[in-house]
Amino acid sequence: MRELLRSRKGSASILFFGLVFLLLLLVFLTIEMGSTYENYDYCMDVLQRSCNSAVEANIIDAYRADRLLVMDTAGAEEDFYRFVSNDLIDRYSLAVDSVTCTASPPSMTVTGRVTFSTIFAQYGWDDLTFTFKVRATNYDLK
Amino acid sequence: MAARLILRRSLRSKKGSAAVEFIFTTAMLILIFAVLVSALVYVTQFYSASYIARRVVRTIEVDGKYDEQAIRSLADGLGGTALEDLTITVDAQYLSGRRIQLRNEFTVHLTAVHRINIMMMQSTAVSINLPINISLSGRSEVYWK
Repeated sequence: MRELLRSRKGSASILFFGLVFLLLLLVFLTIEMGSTYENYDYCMDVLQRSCNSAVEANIIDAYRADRLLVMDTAGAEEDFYRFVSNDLIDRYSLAVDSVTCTASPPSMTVTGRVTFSTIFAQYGWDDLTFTFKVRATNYDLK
Repeated sequence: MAARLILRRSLRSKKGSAAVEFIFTTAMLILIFAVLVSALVYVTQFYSASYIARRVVRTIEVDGKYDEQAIRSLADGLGGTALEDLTITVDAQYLSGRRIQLRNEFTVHLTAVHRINIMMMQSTAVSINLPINISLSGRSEVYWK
């Protein structure tokens, strides 16, 4: 056994196998990292879009003629939740910490956390959680 | 008869068998290595294309309209020139012209090809074309009055 461990024969092949294994690991990690980044980007896009759309949809037209921008804050908050629950698919769980709206100038700020699982979840790792803060303001008088 | 004997002897000979095994093993390992490197390049190209598609979707969402020329130059600016045969098409229900009404859904289809050149035969390249197909949906954020 000791002789076998000291033997230099076949060291090149073992080195090569090691390199192949490392490369395989690198491919796997690249795929998983890219997928995680895509998940994060997708969630942020949906949240930002919902926030922007909620503000845009709840500007009260009656004030607009007088060049005033006033938003229905309750409607905007309701719409935000509706848009997010429509657009965000089930594999993501969303926890909203706060929703702050101002009627004039129309703005909305939402903070919270999004959790989703990675491939490592099957090996007992925790799900991935990130905090977010999205903000939308509308100054468009046209 | 003598030649037959020599051939039989040389076929049974064990001399140089280690060298032959080494050559075959090395060739196989080099092949595996090349395949893995190509896979890594393909994966990074795929994510690069996916990033371009996401930025295109986001731009259309924020603008509320599909401007083909602007989208093309955006994609090129984000590294789309590195992708072969890049085409971007948008499926949407337009309000007027290329405008998309608030919350209306649209889909961006991005197709490209990742070419792996294996060898050159005279002036023709022998290559494998791996497709990159990405479809992403978005919703307009602009209320067209």
